[in-house]
Amino acid sequence: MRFKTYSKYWLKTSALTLQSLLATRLSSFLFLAGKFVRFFFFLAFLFVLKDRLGTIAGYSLDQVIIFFLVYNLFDLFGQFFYRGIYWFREEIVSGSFDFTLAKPLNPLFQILTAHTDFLDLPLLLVVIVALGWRLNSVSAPDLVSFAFLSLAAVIIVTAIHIAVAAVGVITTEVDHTIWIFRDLASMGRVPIDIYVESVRAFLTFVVPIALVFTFPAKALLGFLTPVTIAGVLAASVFIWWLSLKFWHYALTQYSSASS
Amino acid sequence: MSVISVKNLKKYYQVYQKEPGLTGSIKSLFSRRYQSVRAVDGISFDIEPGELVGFIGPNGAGKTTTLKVLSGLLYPTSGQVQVLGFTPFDRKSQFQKQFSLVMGQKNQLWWDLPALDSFILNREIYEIPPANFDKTLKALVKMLDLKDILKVQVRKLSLGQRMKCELVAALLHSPQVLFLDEPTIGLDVVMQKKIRDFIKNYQQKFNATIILTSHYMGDVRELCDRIIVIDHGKIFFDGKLNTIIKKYATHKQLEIIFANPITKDQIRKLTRAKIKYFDPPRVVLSVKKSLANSLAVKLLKNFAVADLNITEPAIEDIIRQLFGDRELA
Amino acid sequence: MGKYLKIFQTSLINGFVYRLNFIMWRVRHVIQFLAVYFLWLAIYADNNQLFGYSRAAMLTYVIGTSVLRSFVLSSRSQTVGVEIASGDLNNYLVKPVSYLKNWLARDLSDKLLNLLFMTFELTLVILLLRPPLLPPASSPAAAIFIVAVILAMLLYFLFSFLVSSFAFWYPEHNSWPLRFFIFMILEFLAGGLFPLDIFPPVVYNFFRLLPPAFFLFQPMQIYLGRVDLAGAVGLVAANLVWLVLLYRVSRAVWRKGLKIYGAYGR
Repeated sequence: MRFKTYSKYWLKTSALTLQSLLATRLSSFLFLAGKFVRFFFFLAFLFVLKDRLGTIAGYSLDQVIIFFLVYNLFDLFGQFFYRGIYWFREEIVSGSFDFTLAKPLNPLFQILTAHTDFLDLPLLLVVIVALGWRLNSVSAPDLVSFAFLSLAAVIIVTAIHIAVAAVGVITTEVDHTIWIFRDLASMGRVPIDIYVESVRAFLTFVVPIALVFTFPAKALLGFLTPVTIAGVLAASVFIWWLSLKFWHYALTQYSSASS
Repeated sequence: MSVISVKNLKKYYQVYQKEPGLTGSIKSLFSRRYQSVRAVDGISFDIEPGELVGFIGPNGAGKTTTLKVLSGLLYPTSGQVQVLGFTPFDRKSQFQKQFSLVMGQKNQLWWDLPALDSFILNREIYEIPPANFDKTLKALVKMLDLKDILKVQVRKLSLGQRMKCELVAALLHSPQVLFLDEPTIGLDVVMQKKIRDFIKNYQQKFNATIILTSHYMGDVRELCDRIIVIDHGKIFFDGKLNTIIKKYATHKQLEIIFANPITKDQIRKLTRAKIKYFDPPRVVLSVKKSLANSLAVKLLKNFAVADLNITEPAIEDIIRQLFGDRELA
Repeated sequence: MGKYLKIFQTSLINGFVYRLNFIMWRVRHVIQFLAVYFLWLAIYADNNQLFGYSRAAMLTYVIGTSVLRSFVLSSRSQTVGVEIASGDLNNYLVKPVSYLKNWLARDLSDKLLNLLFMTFELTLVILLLRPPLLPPASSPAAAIFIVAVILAMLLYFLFSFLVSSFAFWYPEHNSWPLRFFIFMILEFLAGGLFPLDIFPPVVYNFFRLLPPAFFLFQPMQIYLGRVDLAGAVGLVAANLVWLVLLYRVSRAVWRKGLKIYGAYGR
């Protein structure tokens, strides 16, 4: 692992991205404002529900808000670090992916991290502060299990982005795939226990939305057993391995944009 | 030992076909017919260190696909490929640090930023020691006369300037092997010449191994001792440039400077040879190889001739003859 | 008229060529619907009456807004912003077509495709989920509902066109940032996630008369009979007023924009 080279590359591309964000400041402001609007409108909706409703699916509304914050934490994590996936289609279609592949740096690293999106940072900080507030009253063991499950969540989010990139290499289709993932992920804004059995199973075992968004929040609330935690960690490693396999297969299918 | 060795390389693609019109569209919504395209269909060659080889052939012949396989971008359907002792598709960093791919129609530079920023990014990616980087950059900038444009946004550069910057970006890590795909495409004649001279210089200075594809026969004629002609994914010819002329030229050219005024009719009365150029006193005739000498004798006998030359036709003409009207690329 | 028919047809073919695009967009639509539907199902698990909606009324509202989304919020006129920013608008300006009508024709073809898929999806949803669907409150309400939906389509078309027109001034990122911002607000103010009347009266009274409320929320209020017939007619009138206003504004903005566009000579 050439850690120094990779971190230098990340810092350099992040600085370049930040420069262009600052150059188009009105656009940056609108993006930023849009993200905040989305966040606070849903929060307002949850507060309106809280006014009228005792519980949803056995969770108090305060707990539901924790789920919403944890959802945002990992959703924003993916967007902040892996924004490059949204540019990947353009890269494949224009052929600049050829250059990415020819360079002595992991192509996945280049694709995913090349456009670090600082516009997600403010909201990410808001979410972290709001969660931190809550963490004061969380017991140490719960905090430890939350840390483990956060690790699993980060691994799975990365794996999903890798899989989306692999689909992109094979079909040149990226945007819809990542958006479908985001749409599915948005079902994790609330604890997935509220959904009917079949949907819950789908979101746990087929697309691991629950593992990324719901389980860490449950850990925080002290609802998970060590066995479950170990299971989720094992699953995340398996998903990671699977996504890499898929990526290597996709590269053998790459046909490059014709010139 | 050869730097590049290709044995029986094949690369097939699946391409989808759609019938025109709405019915075709609706059909294609549910089922699609795919067709296998043999982009590269069993080619073999070896390239020695320091060779500068030209790939030529019509559009879609498989030249670019071959370069992409050699660069490790494409996974070969079958066959063995070795570049610098590596299997390209493994994409080992040690391998990637020793070669470079330049594509005239695509760019690796960051569009909104000055070229220098992209160069520095490449310095990090290729882990070039800063001292070497500065030295190489200085040399390249001097060779290409780029001093004033390094700090200008890439999008504001002219095509020629951008191409020069692309070359710099590709050469900063001093690659031993260079794949140039259409490096002069879209450039004006002066700029073409400059890039050409630069490639020649670079090759001589660093004894680099270079494969070049080009639309312009001028590039190939001036730069390459050896050419590989590819058509329909197969190698059609592999050898010295003048061998192909000897082998495939069916005609020779007679260039005559007449001493007295002359008309087309006078020539036509004497021979059925094609008049390629007529601007008395200079006239150029194209004639079958076997008849060239006897026609020369006839001309000397019948007219007052100031000068007469028998030459091989230009490479452009031969290639055009080989591939008919299909566009070269 | 003939040429707009041809544009309609070509656009329809185009929709099929990008089949993956289209299917993916429908898949997203279904997922978004399911997310909202199951959320409300859970909220009503222990209650039959909330926010003045019965369980059946709320689920009908959720399904109804999802259907309306396919027609009303399905405009492709976001591409207008892209064409302005990239200069592709030139291709149209030199031709004897009305740009606005051209896009209206393309939008209608898009809505036809959406109608086809929506019918299929709705059947599937009804068969699989067996939701308690309510019929329209009365036949006059149904008639006014249809009028309201048609007006909503036109209103959103003009609204979206207006948003795209700002690309003349801010062509950065193909005018996507403004659209993103507006759409984030729209998601809520149109009533796609929840009916607007669950908000406190002060907030609700402000939101309910803004244009977004007419896209999804108000037509469903008419359908469910939550406004009386006089009120429904009043809503249609209000929609008409917005329509005229937006038409005037978007024309004026477009003309101003074209002058700037010409001045830059892009």
